[in-house]
Amino acid sequence: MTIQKQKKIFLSALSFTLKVALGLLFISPLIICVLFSFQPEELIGKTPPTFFTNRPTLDHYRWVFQNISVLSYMKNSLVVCFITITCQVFFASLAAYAFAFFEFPGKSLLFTLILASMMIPGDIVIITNYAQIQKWGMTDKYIGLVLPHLISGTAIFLMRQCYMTLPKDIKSAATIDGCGDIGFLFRIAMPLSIPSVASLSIYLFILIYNQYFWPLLVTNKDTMRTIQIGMAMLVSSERLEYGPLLAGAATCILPVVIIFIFGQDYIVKGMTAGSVKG
Amino acid sequence: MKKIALLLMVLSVAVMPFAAFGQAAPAAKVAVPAGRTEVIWWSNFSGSMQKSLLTMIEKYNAEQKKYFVRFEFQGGASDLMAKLQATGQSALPDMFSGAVEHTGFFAASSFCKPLQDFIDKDKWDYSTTYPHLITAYSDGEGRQMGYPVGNSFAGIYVNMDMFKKAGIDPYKELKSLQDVYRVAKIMVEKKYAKYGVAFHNNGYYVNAALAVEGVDSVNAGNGYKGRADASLYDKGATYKAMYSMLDAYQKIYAGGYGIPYGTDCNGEVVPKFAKGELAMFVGVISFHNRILTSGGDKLDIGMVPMPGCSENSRSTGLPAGGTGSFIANNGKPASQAGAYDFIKWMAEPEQAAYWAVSTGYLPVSSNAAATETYQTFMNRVFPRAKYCLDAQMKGDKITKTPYLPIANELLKANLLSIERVANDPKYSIDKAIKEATASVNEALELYNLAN
Repeated sequence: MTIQKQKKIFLSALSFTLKVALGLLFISPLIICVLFSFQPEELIGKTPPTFFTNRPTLDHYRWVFQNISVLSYMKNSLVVCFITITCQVFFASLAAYAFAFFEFPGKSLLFTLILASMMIPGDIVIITNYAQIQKWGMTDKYIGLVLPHLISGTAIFLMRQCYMTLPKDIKSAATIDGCGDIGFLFRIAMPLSIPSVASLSIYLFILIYNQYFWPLLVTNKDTMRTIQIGMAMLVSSERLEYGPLLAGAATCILPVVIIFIFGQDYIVKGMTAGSVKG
Repeated sequence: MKKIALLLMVLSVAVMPFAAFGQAAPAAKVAVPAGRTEVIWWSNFSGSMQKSLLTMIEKYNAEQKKYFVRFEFQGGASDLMAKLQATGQSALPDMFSGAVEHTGFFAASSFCKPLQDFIDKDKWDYSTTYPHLITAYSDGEGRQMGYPVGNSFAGIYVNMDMFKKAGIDPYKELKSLQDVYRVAKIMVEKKYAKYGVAFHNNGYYVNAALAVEGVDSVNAGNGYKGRADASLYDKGATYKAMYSMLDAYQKIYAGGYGIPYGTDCNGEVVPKFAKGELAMFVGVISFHNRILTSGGDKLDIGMVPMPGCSENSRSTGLPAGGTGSFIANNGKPASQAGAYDFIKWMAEPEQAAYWAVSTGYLPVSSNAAATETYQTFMNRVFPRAKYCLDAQMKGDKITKTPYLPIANELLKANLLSIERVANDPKYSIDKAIKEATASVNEALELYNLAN
């Protein structure tokens, strides 16, 4: 074996070790959360911390599942995510298509306005949105939970960037073959944009699933609460039990982990879509 | 294939708890029985405290046939306040929870209906309630705005064994924060403890210490005799007390006698105390259960009432702390009457004692403290709670934290002043006081301009 080959193997091993170490470092809060959630309460706050115990317990999970309606909250979160993602992808695709393929007066101004809407922090409008939803009698309803999030500048921008990378020749060929704009959008453009759609969907899922204050404002009934509010029920400022909190957090992140397992390739592809102009 | 295997693993872990433990039913699915008036309670109680409250609500709903109380969790205290302010009158609940220091804010708001309106009609005798609690939940004219649920008690948790070894009687020697500094120094330098002292980082303790000292935080009789428009932090006796307090904090941290200010109390301070590494920490009574579950049940724990700021401390009473119940101004007399009935029921000695035992709060009245339930708990679990109760019974109506509509801004300014001197041994105390004064004055000016 030549020295050069040995050096290459060594560098490759070093690079792999570093990547594993970095990966473990990034995922360590998650691992610690899961490990500690199986420990008795008195061991959790111990210094130095004990990561593995010889008396693991399911007590914290039992407490969470018997006192918090996790299943109902998770169902609500998933319904809200589904409606929001479907609408955002649909509406954003339509708007983005117009910006990418049509020429019309005021196009630049309109797009600039959409970009400007991305600069307004959501917290600024949250109370006025709540007042409006109340006025319309939409509290404690799915429509109230999703209405302000059915369309966003970010989604339009991402989809437009994706459509801009599609060669204009495809559009011309489709037109010659008698394909209209709607047909081109749904039969050609969108299937070619799956990585971007998936990336946008995953981004929206994480955003909506983690929402706390908006669902708290527009829901009162326990049957309409979402998972993050359920988790807040485990937190108390004066008296905090870490066991149930960690068990709740470990349960609550499961859908995100599942989505990430399946969507990680799309996230990377979607992030880089539009970075190279075709 | 790998992904499917991974997914199956994740799903099996996810399904396991459901299969093993069953699932709590969402509360709102329990229908209001026919003929009863529903009473909605918005609250920030969570975790095991919420569980205790739900048990009490279930008992109340079973005991009588007129009302049906429904608990609705509304996030943390600040989330609840924001929601109350943003909600239209007809959408308000029938009652809500609120911290005692926000009584002034509630009284000035449009969403709170004074409890006194109901007391006057009903002639409710609640005279066994501790006087300092009655004062703290009243407006400037002495009208009752709300009623306490959790009676918190600010004080110093002490490791009695360490103090015995050091030959120090904490009940005699810890009268001011300067005393806390002196004793923390002894504890560390003579190696009785690894850490001398720790503090629950909350601006409330500044006003509590000033109240024990016997000085006002703001003008207009601490906000009780009119609309306050200026902080007194930089004036007269209050200035001297503030200076002494911040000086004590600065010396403690400059000397390395304390666990760094801002350290998470639940996560780090309590375990260190339970482990016997910390001689004392300034906190509230509801930490007691947490100390016990962290392994502190083997310790002899003392609870010294909140000290004043300097050697001039009046120290004749204690300011109120904790959370109370208030009736919302939603224009629904029938359900408001239900809310009042429930508040009265919660104040009954047996109910108040049950709540105190299950949460670690002190009882709200001498009647509740005298019940067998509480006496048994005190004798078995926390014998030194007697000192806390005695201190509360000695409490007067003078020792009170300010009555202000800008409690949040006040607490933030207080916290910042401590952080500045605790984290920087060279930070000018006068500068910290001036900055806190300016922040409070600005908040008062803005509030008074807008209202």
